[in-house]
Amino acid sequence: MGNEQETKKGVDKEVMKALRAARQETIRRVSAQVKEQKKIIASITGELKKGPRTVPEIADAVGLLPREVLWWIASLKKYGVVLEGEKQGAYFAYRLAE
Amino acid sequence: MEDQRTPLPDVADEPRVGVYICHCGGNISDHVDVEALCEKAEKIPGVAVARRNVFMCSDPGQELIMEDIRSGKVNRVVVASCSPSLHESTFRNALERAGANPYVYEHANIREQVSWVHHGDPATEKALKLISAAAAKARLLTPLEPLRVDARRRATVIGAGIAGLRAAVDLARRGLEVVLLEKTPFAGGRVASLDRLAPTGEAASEAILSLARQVMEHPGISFHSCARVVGFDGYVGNFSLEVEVEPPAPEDAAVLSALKSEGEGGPRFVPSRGAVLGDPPAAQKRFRVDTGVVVLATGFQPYEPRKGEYGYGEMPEVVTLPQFIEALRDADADGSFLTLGGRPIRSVAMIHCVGSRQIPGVHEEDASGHLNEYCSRTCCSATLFAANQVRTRYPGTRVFEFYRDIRAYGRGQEELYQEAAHNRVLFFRFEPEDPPRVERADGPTGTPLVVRVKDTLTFGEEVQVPADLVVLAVGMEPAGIQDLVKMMKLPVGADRFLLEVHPKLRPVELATTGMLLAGTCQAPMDVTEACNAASAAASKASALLAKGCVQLDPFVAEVDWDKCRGTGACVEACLGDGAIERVDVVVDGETVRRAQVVSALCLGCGACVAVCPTGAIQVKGSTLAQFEAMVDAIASDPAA
Amino acid sequence: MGTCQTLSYDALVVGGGIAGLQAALDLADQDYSVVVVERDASIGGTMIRLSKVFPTLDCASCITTPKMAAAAHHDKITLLTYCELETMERDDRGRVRAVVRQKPRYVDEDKCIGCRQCEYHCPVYVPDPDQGNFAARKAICIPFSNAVPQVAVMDPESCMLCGTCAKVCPTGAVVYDQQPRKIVIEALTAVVATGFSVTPLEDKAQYGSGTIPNVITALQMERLLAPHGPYNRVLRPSDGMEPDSIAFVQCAGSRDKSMGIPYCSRICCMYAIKQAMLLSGALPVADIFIYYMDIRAFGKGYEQFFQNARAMGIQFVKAKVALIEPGEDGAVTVRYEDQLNGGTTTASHDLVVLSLGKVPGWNPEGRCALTVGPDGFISGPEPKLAPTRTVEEGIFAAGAAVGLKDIVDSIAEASAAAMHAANYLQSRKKALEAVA
Repeated sequence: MGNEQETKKGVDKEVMKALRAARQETIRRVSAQVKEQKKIIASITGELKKGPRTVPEIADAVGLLPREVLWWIASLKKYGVVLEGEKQGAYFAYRLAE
Repeated sequence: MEDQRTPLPDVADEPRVGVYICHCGGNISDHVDVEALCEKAEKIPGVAVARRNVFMCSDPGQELIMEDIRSGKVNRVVVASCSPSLHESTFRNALERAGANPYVYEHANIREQVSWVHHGDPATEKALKLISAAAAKARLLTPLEPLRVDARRRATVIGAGIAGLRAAVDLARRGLEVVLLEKTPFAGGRVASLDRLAPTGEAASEAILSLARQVMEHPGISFHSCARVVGFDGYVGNFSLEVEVEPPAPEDAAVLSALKSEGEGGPRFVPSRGAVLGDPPAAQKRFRVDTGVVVLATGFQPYEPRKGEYGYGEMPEVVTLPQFIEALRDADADGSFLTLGGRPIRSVAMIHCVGSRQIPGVHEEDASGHLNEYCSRTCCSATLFAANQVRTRYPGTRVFEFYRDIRAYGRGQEELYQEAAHNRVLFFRFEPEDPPRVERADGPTGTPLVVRVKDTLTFGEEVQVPADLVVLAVGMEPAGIQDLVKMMKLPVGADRFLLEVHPKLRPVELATTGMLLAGTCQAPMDVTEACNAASAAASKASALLAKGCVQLDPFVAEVDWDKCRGTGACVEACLGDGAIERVDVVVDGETVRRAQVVSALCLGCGACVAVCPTGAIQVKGSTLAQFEAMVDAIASDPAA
Repeated sequence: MGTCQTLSYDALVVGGGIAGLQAALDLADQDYSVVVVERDASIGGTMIRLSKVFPTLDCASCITTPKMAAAAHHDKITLLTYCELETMERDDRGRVRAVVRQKPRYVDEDKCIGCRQCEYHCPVYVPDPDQGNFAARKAICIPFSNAVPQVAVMDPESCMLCGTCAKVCPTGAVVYDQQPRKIVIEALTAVVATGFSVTPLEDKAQYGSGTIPNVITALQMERLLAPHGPYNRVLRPSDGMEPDSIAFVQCAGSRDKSMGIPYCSRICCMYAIKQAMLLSGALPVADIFIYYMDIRAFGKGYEQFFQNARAMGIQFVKAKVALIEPGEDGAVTVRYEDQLNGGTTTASHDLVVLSLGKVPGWNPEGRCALTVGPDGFISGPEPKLAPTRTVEEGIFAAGAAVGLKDIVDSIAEASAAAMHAANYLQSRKKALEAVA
């Protein structure tokens, strides 16, 4: 089921150039989003560097809604950045992976 | 998806066992320390590699195993996961795809036997012992070839109710010879006593006749009425049934001859009895049917209420739903009141869940100590359908339904419920602990009966409903087939219905390969569901017989004639009816008796191995040496 | 549109969920060649996204993945994933001719080895619908851990063309300018098994229109209960608290003319009971409530399952929930008419699960000549004796596509459809041989 076009490592520069031109709008939007995401990740991991924290604690510290923090914790946990720690009351604390 | 087979890994080499540990999501890993287990498993003698995966049965999991086989890293495989009944064949297939013999495989059950029953360190320790034992056995495994037996391209269907008819037609169209056996003189089973089918109102007679015509017209189907199975043996591909037919009982014979005088033609329908397909047997006769598969379509029987249950058997005005449906069928087509036996019925009380959804401690057990704890699935719709018929045909007759939950689950069924409400059928809901009471009316209600109930829809108010007739929506029970169950060793569930291997993995198969389930012998079903089940059974049968031969696991006994002294102890111990016989063989010019195994009949149970005085008989894939190695592994301290 | 090729098989199966896979396996086991066309990037359908399944409580993966693997490795079965069926018609020779559009994955299926390097290195986090949107996946990723095939998929709408994935891919499989592909499939018969979908949370204004974070769908609860779910445990999405009180609201869309779904969705009672049982295992001290109209536990072993749940202390409240509103501190207020005790009552829960209405997963209108009933599900001429027949000769349908049903019933019906299709094939092949 081979696709016709050549697919070699280090994608064809001309192809990328044309695509980048065609998808300008998307690239701008996603780039802004990624910048924002990086900031959030940095603030959450920065808070966790101080020690294990629960979702409401992180939310208080970084100024995000708890549900946004939970979303990021779940995502960072999936990609191995964050680990679940001890339970503190009704909440689990999270810490950074080694 | 490459399909190039790498050469068979040389199993004569030093055994290199691969151990593959499944987390089963969290089913295993929540209780067993799989990481530690994996580390320790790798140190078991003969184990070349131990790996783990969230789901070993998934594609990436199987790929782990296959890659190790292809690369030559392992030449024996142990998977530690769920019960082998679920996935042993999955992993054997993976071995085969990787180019290995599928029988250099051993399964360690660390879910049902470990994580579901033990927790913490003891669970991990037991898992390690089971894996050590499996690995010890795996080191001694040798490649085996599956047994191939010729299969007769013929299917036998037992029961010519709606499911049996459906299965027979499907199998015949697929090009298989079909023998259809029915114990009564009529085809159609319980559906014949229905008038119209809920929820859409097709005529039951038409449904039966439509399939009956196809059965009659298809040259590949031979139909035997008044037939009973009296003997059974054999194995998949080569079952043999002893069938006895006898002339119909006098009352049936009278019905049949009356029909016959009306002339010939296609199948004819007799209400409440079924379709007549040809002449019944004129004399008693026995014959043998050799068949590749057996489809059981033995159906159900309605629950017979106990005497006194809601007044049944004590008050003539209390009838069952099947009786009521027949009465409705035979009543005047319409009128202001339903009239039965000359008696105007102004009010009908219908009580749901009679003989279904019984609860231990609440309901009374039957004479044999059983409770029908299951829902019979069809009665809610059938009751609503009958209620709607009454309300539309006889507007003056009021209908009251007493229910626990209305289970109008299927397509078109909720509409029946809404229609009933629209037809002003009145509903009362009761708790099982507080069922309605049917009593003789002593007040001025003008009806012979009164039904009292604590109606939970009106916050437990005690309600009193006058009734000329009480209809009990009786549930389904499996038909009385104890003789077949015993003869064919059929597995039966706690609900007394026949028990499939697994409701999702093998829903229409019995544990004995080649024995299939169609319809209500398995569980309550409506006509649609029974026809689907029957077609599904036909599909499995077709797959089994498609190639004209079937493949069986080679785990059968094998005799070493050098050691056998022909004592015959094994023949006597054999549980597999004729699986071992003694034959004369010539050894050094002398004729001696030796045991010989009929592989296809062998159950692989090992009863023969236990009694052989010379250790001449072994079960392939479970030899004594392999067992000893397992016991040694379990007895030794794996931590040491 | 890229290249167009024509492929021929004995049978076409539309939909690679549990019903489609079972139909394909049954046909292939009878030695017919089968192609399965699946809209999603992986086969497995709804079932592979579930935690455990009633009434046996087997893990859904344990039942689904082997069937997925069996289909993937069967030499008589070809899988075409990420494909939309555009049209399906019977040509003048009575053959089924389907036009399928394969969406671009932006990854070469033959080169991708499923190593996930692209996913690990991609900098863009996007909500993961296969995790109930409770966690992220990346703009390029393997859809989920058990996906078949194990091939990455890129979402061009979330890609900034940074080139990272192509750089880290060990096999050079990333194709940024991949084009959709048109495939024409010719077959003698077809089985349509297009399943169901769930009405959106947003549709139910009385239940908060999806704006209350701790009001979730049953499929989202499946993910919370599943192994490798978003949190690996059950937590309240608003703030990660372990819930103490969980409620299920049944018929939240079904049996409700105002929602346009007058029928019963058939599976919700049982999955709610199942989830309640799993929750009481995961959270032993939590209070669990099920608000219901009728409990429809009708299948083999289902009533016993329901009675076990009652015995375990799960509280069944016969009530119609009128309103769901946000409460204090993430709690959810449920207002209902109590049908047993009377009056309107209010209760507060930490987490509320809605059994939303189920609708057909696919509408044949404009794509093929199949008919649907007033409920929108595929209808046929013989609903009693041959429920899988459709109005088109040689085209059969099975599973939830022909009316909602649970997994057990879908599997049986899929095998039934395979039987009818096999018989149709048998007669067609005979006829073709006679002509030749």
